Amino acid sequence: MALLEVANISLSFSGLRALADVSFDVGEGEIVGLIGPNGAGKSTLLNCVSRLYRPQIGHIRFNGASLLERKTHEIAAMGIRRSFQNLELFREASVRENVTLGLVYRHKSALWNELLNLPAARVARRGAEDEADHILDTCGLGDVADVTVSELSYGQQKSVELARALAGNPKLLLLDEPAAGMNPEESRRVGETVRRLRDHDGITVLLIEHDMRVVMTVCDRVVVLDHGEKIGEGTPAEVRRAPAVIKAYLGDEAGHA
Amino acid sequence: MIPQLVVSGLALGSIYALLALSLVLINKATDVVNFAQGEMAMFGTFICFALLTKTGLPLVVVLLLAVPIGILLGVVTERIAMRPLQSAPPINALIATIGLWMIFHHAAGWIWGYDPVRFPSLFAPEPLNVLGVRVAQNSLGIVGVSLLVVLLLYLFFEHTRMGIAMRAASMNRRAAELMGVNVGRVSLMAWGLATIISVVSGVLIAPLTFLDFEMMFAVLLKAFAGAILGGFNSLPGAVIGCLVIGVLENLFAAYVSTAFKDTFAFAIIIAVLMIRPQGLFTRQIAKKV
Amino acid sequence: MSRTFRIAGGLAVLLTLLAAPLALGNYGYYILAIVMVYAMVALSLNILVGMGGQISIGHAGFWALGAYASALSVVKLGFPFLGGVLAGGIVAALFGALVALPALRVQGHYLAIATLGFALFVQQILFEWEWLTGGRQGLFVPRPSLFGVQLDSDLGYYYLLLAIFLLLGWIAGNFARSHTGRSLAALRMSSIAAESCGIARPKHIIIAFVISAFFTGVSGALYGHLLGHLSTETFSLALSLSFLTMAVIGGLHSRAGALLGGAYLALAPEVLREFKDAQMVIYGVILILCVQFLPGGLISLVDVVRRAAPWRSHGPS
Repeated sequence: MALLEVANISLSFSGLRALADVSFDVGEGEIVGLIGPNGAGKSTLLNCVSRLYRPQIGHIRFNGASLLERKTHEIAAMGIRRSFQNLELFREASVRENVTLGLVYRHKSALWNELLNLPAARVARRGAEDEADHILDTCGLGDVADVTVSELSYGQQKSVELARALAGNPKLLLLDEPAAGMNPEESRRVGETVRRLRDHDGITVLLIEHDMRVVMTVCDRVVVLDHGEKIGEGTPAEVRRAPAVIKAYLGDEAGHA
Repeated sequence: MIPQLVVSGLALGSIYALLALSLVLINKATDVVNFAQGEMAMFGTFICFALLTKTGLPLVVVLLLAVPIGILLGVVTERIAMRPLQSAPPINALIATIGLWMIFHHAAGWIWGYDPVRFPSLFAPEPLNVLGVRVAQNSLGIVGVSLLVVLLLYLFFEHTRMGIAMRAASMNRRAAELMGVNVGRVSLMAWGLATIISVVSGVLIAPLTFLDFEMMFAVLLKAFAGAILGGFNSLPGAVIGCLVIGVLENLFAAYVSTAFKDTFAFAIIIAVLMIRPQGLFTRQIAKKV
Repeated sequence: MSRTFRIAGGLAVLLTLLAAPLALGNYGYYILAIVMVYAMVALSLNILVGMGGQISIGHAGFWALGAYASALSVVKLGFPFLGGVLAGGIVAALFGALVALPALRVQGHYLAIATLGFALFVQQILFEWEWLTGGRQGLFVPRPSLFGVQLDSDLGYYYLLLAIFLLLGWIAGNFARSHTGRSLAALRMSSIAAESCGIARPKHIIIAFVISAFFTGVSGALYGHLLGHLSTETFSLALSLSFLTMAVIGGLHSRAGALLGGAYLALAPEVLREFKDAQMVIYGVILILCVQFLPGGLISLVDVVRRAAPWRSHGPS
């Protein structure tokens, strides 16, 4: 049984078909890339997995459990975390607070304890603080921990969003264009980070990417979407040669990939 | 009894519909809902009344002056109160319109006093017989004007460049700007147009209800209810929603309770918001991430 | 804001509040008490609007529920004073949970209308149920006696209100620093991101409304005992709007801002006494100016002054 099973997903927005019968699996420990021309439905699919959208048809299973019955905020507890194409950071807050918010859901104490600042609440807060410190260190954000995220560079902001996702100790990480807006050196480092997350921490990754260098070097397998349909699947090398894929990216006058 | 209630309910609903059209217009163009729309209508109507009594101009002329009065009122308000907030978080604009409500509502009382006054009607007082039901001519006038405004607005939004620009600006301000749409001018025009409609509606309603500073408050609430019922982004939907509200309100008042007929509109609002927030005629809009 | 500054500032404010009655005459005590009552409502809106990013133009409804629930439980059911105040808060809190339900589905102007409807409904009920609320005469509420001490004087009552405000302020501060409070703020900053972090929106929104309504209900209860008399006209739309106005003007993100807001609403009618008719117009103008130029409220001027201060040290604050 694969870690993530996407089966026959179809989704329409008021008559506009965004996804049509998309199916694929992501095995535990795999890094799977989701590629395709703009508007192919990649983000839409990711949004279905992270439960921001509800497909009209199909199933999504994580560790055998159906995801579509879950509410958006429930999938974090199941072990699924994500980053966003256009960054959804808590802009007014510090780096530390962003990361901490990524894990507070696991450090609960009763509302009474919190309102009266009783020991149980203080213990929970300290637990969260310690964990957040650890994540900040691991992700190299210790120096900027107390800076407001809106003041950081784009690359740093992306790191914060990743750190926040990792704060949840996820089993599955959904990354929406992690290398977007980066120069080749930065993209390479993103690729290395993703690899390390899988090799060291055993995190399964499903990522959307346009940067073909990253896809080719990092992904074990690639799924190709175009106009909401799956038009190819396989290793990066296989997919890159597939005629349907070349056609989708370059149009009928295909030639060199 | 029922046909009479229904027909007078439709007439009542058209009153709400005119105001609802102003609300939806500004919302369609700027994604802001103007809480003060009713009060601006009332304020403009008071200005017309002042012109009527001070200058002795004939009623028809004063009613025509409602148009430039509306434009001026709308444009000045947009420029001063709303323009500085166009890039601020939406809650700031919301609070600003609440501030506008306070200003117009109480300024009217402050300037012109708190006693209701009689506002003359363009129409003769004898009711007409429509399909066996008696309807006041003034009410028919309102229905007629509402239908005309809906038609004109529909043509405007579907077939004129400015109208299409307005729709684009309300859906995505940034994108519209990048496409060359002058978002500031769109906002200005929307407010001017909407205020014309609402001042005209005020001038048509005043003969029925007496003109006083509380005049439009209940109307605003019902207009809101109707617009929410029909779907805040749909002009014809808002009109239909208001007609429904008018009829239901009359039936409710006759058969259940007159005291609670205002809060009844709220029950509808709450029910719609809980069951189908986008209203009957609009599709749900999801945020793209 | 540096810690020393906060503590110093807090102490200064506390001392001012404790000593204020000495500087004012008898009438001043009553005004100070009203400032406390309003400041509690501003605090409640800080939580709902400032932290939670929600909107309410119906808080007069919670205030009314608190006032009448408390007064009736004391007068008709023989509750002790504090029990009545607590009852007022709890009744308001229950309705807060109810009003939260539309907030789960809609935001912005839709939510504002829903809260408005709630307040008008409460006012309508109070108006119709004369047997409960005393009709034209209104309801008379006795001054409380606390632990055997009769609090007839405005001065004594003021210190009680000050103590309760400080208690509520302490609770609000705890809430803001707690995980639940910060999760609520996260939902305000980006509900999509917050939910992807496992933060449940419905639970937090309901909590925000419940706490906010509780604080306002307590305030309403205390108001009833202060004034000695309740009449249904008090709890109007204009009052709800005034509440929101004062919270915005004072500052939605600080407890000192809540105090400023309360002071504003208590004092403005006095200051603007000549402009009685134009009062609400002026409130509206100030509200719009505030939202345009000082979205953090008057209290944010303190920050402006601090940043311009010549003695400012460099380094992280």
